[in-house]
Amino acid sequence: VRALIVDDSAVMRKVIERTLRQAGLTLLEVLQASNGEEALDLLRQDAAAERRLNIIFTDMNMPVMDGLTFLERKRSENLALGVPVVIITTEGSQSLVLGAIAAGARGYICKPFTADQIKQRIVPLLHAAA
Amino acid sequence: MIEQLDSAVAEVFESMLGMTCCPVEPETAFVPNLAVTIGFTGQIEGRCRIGLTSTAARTVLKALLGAEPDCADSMIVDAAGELCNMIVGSWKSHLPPAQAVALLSLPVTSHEVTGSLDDGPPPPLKRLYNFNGNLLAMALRVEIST
Repeated sequence: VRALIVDDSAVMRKVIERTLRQAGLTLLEVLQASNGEEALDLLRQDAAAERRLNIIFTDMNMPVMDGLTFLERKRSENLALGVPVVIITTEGSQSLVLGAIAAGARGYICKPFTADQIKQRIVPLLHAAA
Repeated sequence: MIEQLDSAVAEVFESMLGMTCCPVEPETAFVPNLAVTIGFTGQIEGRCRIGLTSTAARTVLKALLGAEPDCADSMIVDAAGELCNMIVGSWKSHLPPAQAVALLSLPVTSHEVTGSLDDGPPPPLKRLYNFNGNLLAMALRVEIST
């Protein structure tokens, strides 16, 4: 699996990567970005090099560019089309969930989370996108 | 509010750090040297501030990452910020849905902590917890919009 993790906390990026490995995912490469703008840059580089991600995880509440704006810009620039995006955040309100889904997110995981919860949500998305 | 806060703290420590964290009697001698504040605005307004020592924050970092992580000061501060973020998010999710509609600010960290974590009026809800022999102080200030 080739994954992108977008979170302003370096600790949380490592926690997510560690949890993905604990959930049994074989991670070939993990790209990391600390906000939506950095993530868009990585997606543009991937597009130029014709590389493909399998899954994207993004936080919602970030400085510079938040998760919702990232999703909207990603879609408007036709970047990583078909790659499932999963929101991992403490912001679990219904309006934010609906906003993220409307902007293209395929899943939603609230912190705190467990490896089992990650596995249950992620594996079906990876299979569906394969 | 205390029940929801205790539940949130327990949930975060058990699921993310693999350890228990229980309320203890207030201890006047406890002086944290690291504080994190997160504000919230919406149906509820206020802020949550946690206080802990750098040693306790390092314990949190090690529990989050496992093994022997990079314990640079920035990572220790980052871990404390995420701990506060997860506790506030979890606490909010334990509130009735009508009250849970509030946006969280980004964590603000400070190394200069006054003796009492939050002295402003009116007095906030205060709580002290123990995890693995470390203390975690919390001050929660909440106003519910009508």
